[in-house]
Amino acid sequence: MAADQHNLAIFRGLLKFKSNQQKIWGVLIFLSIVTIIEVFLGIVKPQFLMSPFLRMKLLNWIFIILTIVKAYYIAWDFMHIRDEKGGLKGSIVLPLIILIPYLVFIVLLEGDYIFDVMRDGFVSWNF
Amino acid sequence: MYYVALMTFILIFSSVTMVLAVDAGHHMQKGKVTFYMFLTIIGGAVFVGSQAWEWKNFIKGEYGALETKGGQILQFVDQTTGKRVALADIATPIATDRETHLGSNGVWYVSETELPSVSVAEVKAGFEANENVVIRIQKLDENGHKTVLSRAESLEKINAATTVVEGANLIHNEYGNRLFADFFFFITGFHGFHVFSGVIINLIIFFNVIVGTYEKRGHYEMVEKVGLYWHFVDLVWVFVFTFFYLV
Repeated sequence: MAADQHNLAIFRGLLKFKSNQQKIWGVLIFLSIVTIIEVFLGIVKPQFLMSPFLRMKLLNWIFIILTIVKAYYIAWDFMHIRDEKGGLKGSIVLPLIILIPYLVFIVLLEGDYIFDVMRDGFVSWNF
Repeated sequence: MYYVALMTFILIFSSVTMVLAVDAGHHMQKGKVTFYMFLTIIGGAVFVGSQAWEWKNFIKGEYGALETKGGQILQFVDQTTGKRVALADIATPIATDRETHLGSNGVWYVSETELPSVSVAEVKAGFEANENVVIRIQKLDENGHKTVLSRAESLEKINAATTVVEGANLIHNEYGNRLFADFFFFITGFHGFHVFSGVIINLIIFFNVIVGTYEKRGHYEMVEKVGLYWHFVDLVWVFVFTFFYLV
């Protein structure tokens, strides 16, 4: 990547920065806002977000989605994936979006099985 | 929670100073690269220090709890206020000859881990004397809160206790599930080790910048490479923070 070829627009071109430094500060502000929202929700734990959705609390879904949003901006702007060619972008990101959900799937399935054995099987939680 | 949030900000900020150092490197500004890398190293060091402090508190524990034979944790709460009660506050001292067995005293050089400050019998006696204290178990009620037993149920439940747990380690955890403490130390330990090695690598590159290695080489690509490592560590922390402190 050459020094002067930075892509200075974030939020799909909604926000354009004049220089790379400015973009970095802008992303920092955005990440800070997201973190503050997360911490606020973590402290308050609003009751209406505690209802289950797809076998997990709505609040936890929000945490995970916000975390992925943060990860996206760290990778795209700090690790400058945004400035790379499409092929390189794909070769970095595609293995991750295939393998991580696959691992999560396996671990959840196996964990759920063990939980079922503990709950319904012959092994007792407390003996 | 508040402190960990602050740590998160420190790590994100040190990531930002790292990007600024890389950016200054592209423009061959040695002074700026030095300054920003210095800030990055400070941020990383503060983070590792905070992590160590967190560990110290977690290992030392706050209130203490009892553990049953099945590994369930029994915590004590005040019936009227709902606040946690420390073991030291309710335990009635009972005279005993039992001491921590040291390697220097035995027939063979075998020692045991340090005995907890109170024994199960002392906690039990104290619990029976304190009418206002009840037991909280780890089972969640329909609202997702930990179940608080009634006084009668508590008196029944305390008979299941076998060990006193103070603090957390890879085997016991006074805060709740043992596996949580095990995972917590495993994951934050690995992350902390990566931050530590990141600080060391940053330091090496920092001194290289100062002596002018990259100025002679004509580019600051090494700064960019350690920068990528540093961002990776930050990226991992974002996930660790979510799954160990928020969820």
